[in-house]
Amino acid sequence: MTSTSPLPADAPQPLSTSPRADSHPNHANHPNHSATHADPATPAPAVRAVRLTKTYGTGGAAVHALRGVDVAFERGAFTAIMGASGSGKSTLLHLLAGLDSATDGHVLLGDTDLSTLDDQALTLLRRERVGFVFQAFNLLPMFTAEQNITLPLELAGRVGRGGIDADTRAWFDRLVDVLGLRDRLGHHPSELSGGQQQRVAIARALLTRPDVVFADEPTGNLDSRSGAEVLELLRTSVRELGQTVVMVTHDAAAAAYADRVVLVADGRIAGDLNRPTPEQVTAALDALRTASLAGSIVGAR
Amino acid sequence: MWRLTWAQMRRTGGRLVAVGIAIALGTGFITAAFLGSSTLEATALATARAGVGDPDLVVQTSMTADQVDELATLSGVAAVQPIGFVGREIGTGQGSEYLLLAPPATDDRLAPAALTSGETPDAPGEIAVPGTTAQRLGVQVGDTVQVVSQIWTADSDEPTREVSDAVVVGITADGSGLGFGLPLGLADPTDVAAWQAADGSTWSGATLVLADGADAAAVRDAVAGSVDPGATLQTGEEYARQVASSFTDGVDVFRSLVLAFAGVAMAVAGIVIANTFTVLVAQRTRTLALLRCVGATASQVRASVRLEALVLGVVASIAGVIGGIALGQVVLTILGRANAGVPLPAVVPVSVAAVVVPIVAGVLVTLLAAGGAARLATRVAPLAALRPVDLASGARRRSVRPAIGWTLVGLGVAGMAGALVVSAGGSFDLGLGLGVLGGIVSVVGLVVAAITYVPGLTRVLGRTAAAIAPARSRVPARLAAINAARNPGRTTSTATALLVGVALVVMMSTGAAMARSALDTELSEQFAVDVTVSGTALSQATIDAVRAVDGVASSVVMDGASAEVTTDDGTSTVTAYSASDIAALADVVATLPAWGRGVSMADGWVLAKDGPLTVNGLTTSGKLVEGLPSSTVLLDAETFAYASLTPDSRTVWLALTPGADPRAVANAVTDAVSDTTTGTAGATPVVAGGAVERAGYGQIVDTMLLVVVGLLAVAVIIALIGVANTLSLSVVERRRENALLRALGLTRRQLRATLAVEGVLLAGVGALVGIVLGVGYGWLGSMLLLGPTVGLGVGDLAVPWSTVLVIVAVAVVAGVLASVLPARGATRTSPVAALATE
Repeated sequence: MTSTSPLPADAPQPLSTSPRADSHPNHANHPNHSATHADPATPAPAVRAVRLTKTYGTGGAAVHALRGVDVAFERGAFTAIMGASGSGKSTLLHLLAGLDSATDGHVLLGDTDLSTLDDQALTLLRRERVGFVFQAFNLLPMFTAEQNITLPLELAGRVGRGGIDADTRAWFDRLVDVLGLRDRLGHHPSELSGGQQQRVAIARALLTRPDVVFADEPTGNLDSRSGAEVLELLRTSVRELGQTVVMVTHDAAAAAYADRVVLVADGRIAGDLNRPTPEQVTAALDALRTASLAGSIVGAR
Repeated sequence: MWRLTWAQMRRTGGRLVAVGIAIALGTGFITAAFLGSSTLEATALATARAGVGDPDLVVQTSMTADQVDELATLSGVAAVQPIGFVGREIGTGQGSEYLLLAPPATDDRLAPAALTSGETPDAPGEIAVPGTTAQRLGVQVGDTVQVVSQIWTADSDEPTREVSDAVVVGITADGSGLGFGLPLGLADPTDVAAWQAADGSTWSGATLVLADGADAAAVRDAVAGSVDPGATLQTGEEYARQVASSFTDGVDVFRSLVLAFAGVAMAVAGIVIANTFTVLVAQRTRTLALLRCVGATASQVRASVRLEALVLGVVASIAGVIGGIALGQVVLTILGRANAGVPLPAVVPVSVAAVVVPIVAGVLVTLLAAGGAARLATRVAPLAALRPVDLASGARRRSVRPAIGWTLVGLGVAGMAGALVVSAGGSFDLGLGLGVLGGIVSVVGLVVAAITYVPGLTRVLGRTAAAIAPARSRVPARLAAINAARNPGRTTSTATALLVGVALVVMMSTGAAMARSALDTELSEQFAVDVTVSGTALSQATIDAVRAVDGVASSVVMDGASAEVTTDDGTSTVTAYSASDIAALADVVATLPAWGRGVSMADGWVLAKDGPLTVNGLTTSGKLVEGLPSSTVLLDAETFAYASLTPDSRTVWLALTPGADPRAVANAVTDAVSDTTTGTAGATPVVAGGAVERAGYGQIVDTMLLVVVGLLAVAVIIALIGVANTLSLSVVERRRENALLRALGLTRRQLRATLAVEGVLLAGVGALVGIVLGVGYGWLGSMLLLGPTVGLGVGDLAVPWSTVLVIVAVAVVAGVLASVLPARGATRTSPVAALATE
């Protein structure tokens, strides 16, 4: 499963290996960001959680979604976060992505501590340094595929009267070809299949060349063939475009596409697997479940 | 079903409150209209009662003093008071005033004028004057005033002035006695009888009080036998009601007018209600479908929606009625404190109609408006519960409605075109009727067909906004443009509600602007001189003060003399002026032609056309000058002297600076005159002229416009509530979209801007279409109403730009304001929370 599977004919063509375009304007804005993955000796993580805590509600009704999580995600890697429903994996993703604020602890995106940012700064950070692929409702129904892809640039006011700049246009063209969306650009989301919609979302996430792309159950609403296609594309973006991807999933087969799997249970990191096979992932999950079951029985006594 | 309806109403409470306010405004308006007119009627009746007193019998017929006295001798009659008064000019060193005088009441029940000080005149040469008159003339009890009688006799064109002295013995309360609210003084019966004899006038009737124990029917018969056979005999109450109804002829018109505007407000409220209920049903699609799945019948679902409308209608209507009554009471209390002269009731007279009519209207409009939504609710299929919610619905177009609408527009326009033709042909009433009918039909058509043009206009307006927006605001502008055009039905009805109110306001303003410019043209033709100040004792101080008034461009002073002129048409008495400075005169009178020796200028009253004109026996060649004051002949100084005219008055003619406000200048001139004059009776200089007339008419037009616009503003406010309602519904519907946009980097400010632009687009489209329609209908209405009388041409369109600007500004500000609350809710929602909800 981990080897390259043949891509569907209508879509992604394999990319020739190419370094990230270092002339990207964002690099000037975020010098820390250009401390690239080129130096393996000092693997500066793309995003890091430090004693991250999230509590919903107060007093007796308090729900501890995260209880002091410490975890780092390397640059240029594809990491999957796994866990059962209510384990805190989605909360972790939301906090890492700056969609929600932590009760305690820190999230460091590069050198930026998200807990120090106000809503305006967080919004701009999401716009410029983070990409998103959600499970469903990724696209605005009233915009075409192309308009959806360029939306973050438009929000930043980076689409001039003559369209986007040449450098970004070239990157856009490449993404569209890789993702096989060329003849779908003028379509509205309602005219696209689920897989196509997710590919548009991936194109949008990659267009700004963000520090990290966060994917929240990106295959949850897809059939297995489309799901495999989306996962393959995410892996391609990591392997060939040097993108950092963090994905939440509860599907062992999906997690097996990742370079590394982080297991979350009860708001804590419960395991860490490197380049696992689906079987290894399933086994680890089973172990986790048993432990948790045993724990609850012990607790009951 | 009731529990379910109640639960649903509570969930959507905020939205229902907004609609409720719209209904309450409309019903409150109706209540206020009823209260206003019944207060007027009550006031009129109270005034009439105060004027009539409490007589047992009232005789109405022309009677001499002797006939009145004869009634007093009838058996069973205790007292008789004549109805009527004589008018005399009362003068003091401070000025003079025309005063109505009556003899004092002979019985306490016969409308005695209440005395505030002094006593009732009971000897010849004694008089009692009303308090306000005494104040103006500066007299107190014990002072002497002059009573001036102008006696007209058959053998003379001029009245004889007879002046006698009278001692003020009492001060009467204003508004008391037989004057029906007019200032009324009292004089000794002997004096009154003498004055009446001198005037040759008679009493218009008498009021009687019967002796204790007298047989009313017998007295009535006796009175009927004593007076003219054609006399009317009534009881005191009947007479008071008759007098009151003669005062209140206009009240019915007033009530109909205000109720018509209230009707417009209710219609607009209806559109807002229909809109909101449709969306409420759309939002509850899944709930309704689930209900259908578990066994609710279609009629139960329909009944639930109707029940909701009924509850809302009843509650909001009652609130509106209470608000209307409270408002009426507040206004009445303020008026009562400000004005002592009129007997206003202390508590608003609440009639049954003032309560029942608005409640019935409010409930009916709510039920009717919610009817469409109720039908829509029954169409929800049970299966809809199982399908994912599709928010992109609602783009259905009913194909028949636009066709009907445009047919009506066509018929209406044809009717209005026909009206113009008929009106030009000379039949005023037919033209007006046809025009009004055509106007109403075409407006209904335009409202029905609004779906065919409002969404398109919104799109164009939105694209324009997006195109001119700076790069960073382009996304909000574009999102707003797309969102505003996404639900054509809702956008259309929201904009239409505003359109109706705005169109009416602009129509009235256009009509007023055209009426005013027509009047200005007409008046400046009739009055070539802007302001004239003339008098027998016009002092140099007054002339200097008047010339120094801001806005006076040029002036000319002339001596005037009474002169006999003879033209081909006959002889008349005119005022001849000595034009010693012809150049200055030409500056003031724009229409003055070139002047040669032996030429006199005369106005249209004196001279029908150029021709010979003889002044005091001296024949000159007369020239007709349009717009000179009536009965004016202008002579050069030499001719004036040659005609042996002796100056007996002086006159200043003034021309205003172009662009000066005629009203302000006329007022300033009047002030300057009164500041420099310590007038005695008859000697006060008279201020007149085109500017004064223009100012007066302009003020009447402006006041009427203000009242009408104030009434229509209620409809506009209701429509703006509709805009806010539509926006908050958009926010609810687009919760997930907004969350996605926030996740992708839409800042809070950009989200707020998106909603603000959407609000401005909704309000702006309604306002723009309303303005265009209003100008069109205002132009047509003015053509039909004023065209025949003042010769208003097709090209005389006067657009009330200031009103248009105000309306555009109001629309923009209201659009932004309407988005504030919805935006607060939208920006508070965290992106995660919104993404998590299904």
